[in-house]
Amino acid sequence: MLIACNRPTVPTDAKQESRLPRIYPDYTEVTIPFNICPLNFAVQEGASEVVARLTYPGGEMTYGKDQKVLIDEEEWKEIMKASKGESIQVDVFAKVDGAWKAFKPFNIYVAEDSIDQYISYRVIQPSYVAYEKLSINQRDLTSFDEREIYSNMSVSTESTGQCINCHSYKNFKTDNMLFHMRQGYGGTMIVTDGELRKIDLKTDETLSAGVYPAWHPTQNLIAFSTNKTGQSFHTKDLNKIEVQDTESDLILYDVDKNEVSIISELDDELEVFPTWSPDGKKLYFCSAHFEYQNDSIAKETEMIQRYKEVKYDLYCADFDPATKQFSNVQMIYNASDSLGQSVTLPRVSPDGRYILFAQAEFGCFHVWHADADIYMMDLKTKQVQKLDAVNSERSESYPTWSSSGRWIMVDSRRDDGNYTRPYIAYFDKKGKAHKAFAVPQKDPNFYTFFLRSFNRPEFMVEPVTITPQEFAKKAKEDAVPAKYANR
Amino acid sequence: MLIALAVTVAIAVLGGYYLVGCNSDVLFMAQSKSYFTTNPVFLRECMQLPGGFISWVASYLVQYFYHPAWGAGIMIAIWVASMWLSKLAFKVKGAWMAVLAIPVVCLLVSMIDMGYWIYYIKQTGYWFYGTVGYFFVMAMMVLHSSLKRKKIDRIITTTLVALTYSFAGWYTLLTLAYIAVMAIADNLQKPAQPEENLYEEPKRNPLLGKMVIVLFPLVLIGVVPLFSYQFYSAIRLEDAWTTGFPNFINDKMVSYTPEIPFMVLAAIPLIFPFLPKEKDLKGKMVWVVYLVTIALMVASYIWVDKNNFQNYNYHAELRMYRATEEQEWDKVLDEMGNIPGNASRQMVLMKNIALMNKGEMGTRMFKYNNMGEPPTNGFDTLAVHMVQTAAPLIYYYHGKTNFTVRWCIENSVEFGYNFDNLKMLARCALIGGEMDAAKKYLDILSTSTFYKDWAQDLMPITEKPELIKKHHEFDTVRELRDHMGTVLDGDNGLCEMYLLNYFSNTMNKDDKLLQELTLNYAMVQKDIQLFWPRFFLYAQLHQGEEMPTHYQEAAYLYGNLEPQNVNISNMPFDAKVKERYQGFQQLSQSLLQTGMQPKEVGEAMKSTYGDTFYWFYFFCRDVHSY
Repeated sequence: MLIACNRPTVPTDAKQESRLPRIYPDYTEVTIPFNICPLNFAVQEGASEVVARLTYPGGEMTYGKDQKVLIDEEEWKEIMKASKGESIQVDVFAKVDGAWKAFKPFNIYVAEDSIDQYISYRVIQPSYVAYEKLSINQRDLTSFDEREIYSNMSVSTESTGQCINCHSYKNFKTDNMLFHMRQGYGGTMIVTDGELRKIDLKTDETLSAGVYPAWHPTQNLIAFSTNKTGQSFHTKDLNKIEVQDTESDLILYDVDKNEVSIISELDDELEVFPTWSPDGKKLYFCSAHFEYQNDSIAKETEMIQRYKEVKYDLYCADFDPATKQFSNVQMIYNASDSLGQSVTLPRVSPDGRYILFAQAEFGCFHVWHADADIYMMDLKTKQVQKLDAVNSERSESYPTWSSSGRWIMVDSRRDDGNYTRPYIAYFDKKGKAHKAFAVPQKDPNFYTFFLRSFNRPEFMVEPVTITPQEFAKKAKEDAVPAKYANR
Repeated sequence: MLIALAVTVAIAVLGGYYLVGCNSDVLFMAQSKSYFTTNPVFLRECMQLPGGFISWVASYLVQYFYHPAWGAGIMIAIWVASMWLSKLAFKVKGAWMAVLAIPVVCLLVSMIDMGYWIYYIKQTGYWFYGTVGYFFVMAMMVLHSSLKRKKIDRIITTTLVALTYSFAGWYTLLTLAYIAVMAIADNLQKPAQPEENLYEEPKRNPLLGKMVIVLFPLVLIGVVPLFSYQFYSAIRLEDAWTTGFPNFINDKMVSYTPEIPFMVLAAIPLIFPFLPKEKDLKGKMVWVVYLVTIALMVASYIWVDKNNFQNYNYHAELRMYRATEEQEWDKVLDEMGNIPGNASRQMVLMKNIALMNKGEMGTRMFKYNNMGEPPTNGFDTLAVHMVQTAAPLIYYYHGKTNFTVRWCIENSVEFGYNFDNLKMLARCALIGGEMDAAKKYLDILSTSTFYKDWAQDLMPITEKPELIKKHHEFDTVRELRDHMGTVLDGDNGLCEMYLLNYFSNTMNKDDKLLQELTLNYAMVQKDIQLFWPRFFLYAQLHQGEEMPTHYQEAAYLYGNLEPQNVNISNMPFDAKVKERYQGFQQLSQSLLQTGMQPKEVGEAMKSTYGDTFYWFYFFCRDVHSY
């Protein structure tokens, strides 16, 4: 009622501009799910007042407060309901230096496909070496509600500081999920069928504890990479940081048996980023062929000297769920030799047809590579295409699919080059990706003032129900060591 | 009343003197290392901890230390208000104002005893947190005491206080403790009046009622944090009772000394309810009050003075940091010239930056005391690292903007974002051409009270990058950065060592400024092999110009030490350079022949030759970078 009373009126004396308005986040000509929360935005025209008129099938609404367009959540639901499969036309008016301007209208297309209700991400400063407060948060995309799944500050002290990372879910559900804790109270928190356990995945036979995870879709198995990771700093390059693996392998963790076995530990190969096909019969991963040439210096030193030579290709191995054996390893995308590129973070679509990955000139940590973009391979035709609608001039990484396969989410640094934000894009039935948009926030200036990154965004069809306090209690317990099993 | 006013004035004077008179530099740095934005994101982040609202208000007020006298004035006004509120809340006669002033004295001590913890404190809004918290406590106590006639009122106000836990954390719990103590005092001082409680049946056991009034707030102290813990995911259960109490702790040690004022502050109001009331102050008791007042005032003065951290280098560093940041190079050099003992390495580096910007490295670099020692608090074992104090600024002026960004972020991760870091990040983004990042930082600073103008002055560059050329404050940094290559490396947390190694091993013939820096750092490294090629390159780039004294001194010294490497016989050294070298050698030899140790010889020769490269080369030893 209050909103209705204060609803702004569209100026009648506005001078027409031929260009689109500058709005943030950029929601012009995007395709959105009908169940998403309001796309509030700020008009960056130096205006004292703004008005936005939303014209949708069967009605129109106006909004505007100072320089922001804040849409009532209940009204937005009505608009979405009416616009499903249609579009909303947005006319923006801005009062600049006392005179109203009318900008070229833009459309917001409302897809008939819904989006998974939840996403989760790690909230972290664009970190270098130090870490203090880290949390894994879950966000309800149908509202602005955001909650912490786990905050490391619930157990961290100055001397037991804790890093948390790599949250992962089985089939987009949260009754089987995991994340890692490093340093203080280290271990991997694994939830299996709702039961929380803390496991130490490091064995004497493996390189490290599990790092990048991938839940098998049908079995109680998790593929991990194991990595020896280092970090160094560019003195001038705007990429600023290089994160490199001096060694990396792949392992398989049998959740039921609490056993770790090695999938691949080839010399001169840096295997990483495992991901399963939806039927669980193929394991995709990335690997870089890298031969150390100088025994007189440490591997870390040589890696720093030759960091641009490290380029990952995309591989696939067959997997027999019955015997748990891998076979027929083959490279399916040679990015290094043929293109001089490096492929990371592959993710297979829920229908098994496509595989998304992040590609840049070199290395494995594309979140810090401005040239990193999202590419997609059609696994039927083996054709690779760059998803221009999803990409920007800055880094895109961590691509992932929604459970329906109709939505893609990526980590993007397009806003400012330094802080990653989750962007969502529609992926239609014809295999075409549409323009990506930032996950909406109640305050459209939120991303400007929020000085942390959203890392590794993942879709979930349900929220994590284990409370942060329950995770904290378990975190303080000793981790159960995993056993090593020969394959 | 006269005593109350006198104590109030004394507190104001004491606060004014020690805050503004002795610690203006500290207060300015305090606001520089703090953060506030009107955007709700910051409030939301504050509220993730119990007591978050106090953090938010305190952070707002800390901004006023930009003008130290303004901030101090606000702070003292809140202190005075708190004293008078406590008088009102506990119904204390004005004669006891000196006792009521003790918590305020604690707050004063907590402002000036920090030492190098100023760089390491993690509590958001620390500098005003205690002040706002204590004011909140006393305001709540006034509310409670004004409504406490009936037991039900006491229960209601106590419950209301408990509900403020998420806003005031530790200070809510303190308030509950004082309510309990006040109830005890009330029970001791007067029997229960039947008319006091309309809700209580006359036949009910009055002791039970008294116990409820005392125990209720105590139970809430135990229960409220326990219950609230379910809503806070970013605190440990065991910390739920102390969130808001400042800790001076890092991964190596805990310092309890700076916590003492807060412990005393918490404890002292527990005696307020037991101070003799007005009717008791008769005859000799009045004189007791006078004596207590004088004794407390004297003791307060002694305590404050004793805890006032007056390490010369600490304050000089703060002043030099500000002058360096504001490019007041003469001020930097004046501070360096006035240091009574050895400087810290941070000060030496800031001196180098000032000389570089004035183009006087070659003539004045070694005229200053280049000895350096790591800073210490004295009262604890806090290990101070330059990367956490001034490294972002030092890297910036060496053109190493990526390293500035790195340490701004690293330090923000550990100690929170602050205005100083955001300014550095904005500058680096502007210089690096990252205009969207620069706009982000400038947008944030534009919502601050005192950095708004600074941010808005630079904002046009984000739209028109070429405008940066009109901002001459960026000139030398841009020049150095533009002429550097990019490599992948790291500083291992040692800023000075990294800079020395990087620049002394760099050869650059494209830029005079960068080239001269490489020559100077080769001289600081005392590496003859590194020196000569950079010396000759300098001579080549500066043909027709006078060779600066220090470079002549180094060349003359190295030519004499290792004549087989370079023949200096044809070099046109100034007569004074040669003359002083001869004098230096003769004096040092003669002193050594007397049996003096080299260190003693160095000290003996300092007044005569301490301004030469010769002295630096032979006697500037045992320098510890940190």
